[in-house]
Amino acid sequence: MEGDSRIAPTLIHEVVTKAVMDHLLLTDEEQLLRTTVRNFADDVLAPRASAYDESGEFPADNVE
Amino acid sequence: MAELGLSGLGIDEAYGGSGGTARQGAIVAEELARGCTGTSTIYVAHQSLAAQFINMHGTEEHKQRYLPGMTAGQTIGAFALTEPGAGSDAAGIRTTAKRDGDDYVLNGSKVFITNATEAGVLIVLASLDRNLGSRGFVALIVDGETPGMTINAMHGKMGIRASSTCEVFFDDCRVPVTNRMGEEYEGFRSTMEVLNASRVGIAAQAVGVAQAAYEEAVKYAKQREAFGKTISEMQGIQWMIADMATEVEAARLLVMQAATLLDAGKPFVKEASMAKLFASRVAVETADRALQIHGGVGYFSPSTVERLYRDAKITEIYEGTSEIQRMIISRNVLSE
Repeated sequence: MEGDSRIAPTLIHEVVTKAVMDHLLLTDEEQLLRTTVRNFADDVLAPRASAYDESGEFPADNVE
Repeated sequence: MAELGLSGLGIDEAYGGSGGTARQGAIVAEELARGCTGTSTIYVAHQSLAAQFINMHGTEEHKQRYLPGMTAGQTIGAFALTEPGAGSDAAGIRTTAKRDGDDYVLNGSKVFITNATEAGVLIVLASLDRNLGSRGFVALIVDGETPGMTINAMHGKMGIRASSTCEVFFDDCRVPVTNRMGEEYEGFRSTMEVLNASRVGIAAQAVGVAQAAYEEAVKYAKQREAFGKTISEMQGIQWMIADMATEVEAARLLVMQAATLLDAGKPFVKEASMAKLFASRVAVETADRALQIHGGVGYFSPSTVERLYRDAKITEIYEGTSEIQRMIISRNVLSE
């Protein structure tokens, strides 16, 4: 009993932490993909979005 | 996008693709839309409709000829189904394909075609016999420079302006019979298979628009001061933010549910329509709330929320209007 009470909170903590960090229960590969594309969107797409909205030109540099 | 390998997502590795799942496709569509909705529209039309149509229904020769250039982002793809008299009622298309020797001869016109101006390859749906409705479809690959095809960019679009939206005219446009995907009279079924799968990506795009608007709202609420405090300290604003956060998360979960079912080879059409219906409404309502939180500043261009407010609306219209999604959902529910 004493052993259980020491282990259980740790396990619960690990499970909860993992659930929060692995948003939507994404796999490691999916989480990496999300981070990669999110960085691309923040660094490359978003800064140009207003200009392309204004000009209506094809964003060739985004597509490359 | 091509440099990151995104244009090859979902395409077989044998043709320059990187394989991948519907869940990955949804993640990519959402994140691209969060940065630039118009660019995500280009991506979905190119990758989920055009390249995926060839990947799913093309011959080995079609795949070898077209997919490597498309996955490298060198050849842009477009998908030409909608016509002036056939939007939601896609079976009513009037563009005809008449067999003449080793060619089909196309006559008719298409409208609201994304990417057509830039396209090196267009997937064109035409009717072999208009009396047959949806049972008369043929799916053809048409090269961008084919004589007899004229493409005009349409102007005055409310949002997603980075992507082109075009009219396409066919005047005795000859397409080799070898460019046909699938059998004659089976083009409608192929089209629905492609549209069903791509609907998950469009729903994900709507989540990306909503997420972007939500993030802008939170950022602004924390910095804007009124009555001696930031507006984020006011309960009216806090409740709006709570609703936005909850609805964006719910929309994302519906999208991932549909994608997970698709990846598992289980029925997903009802869930994809639910995701598209809900996520597009959340995009519109979240952009509306985000603009409201910005007040007058948000009503002027170039503000991000002003653009997102215009971008959001298309997600309720294209790739199946919200009314069509409700038809699909109720049809599935009532036949269960």
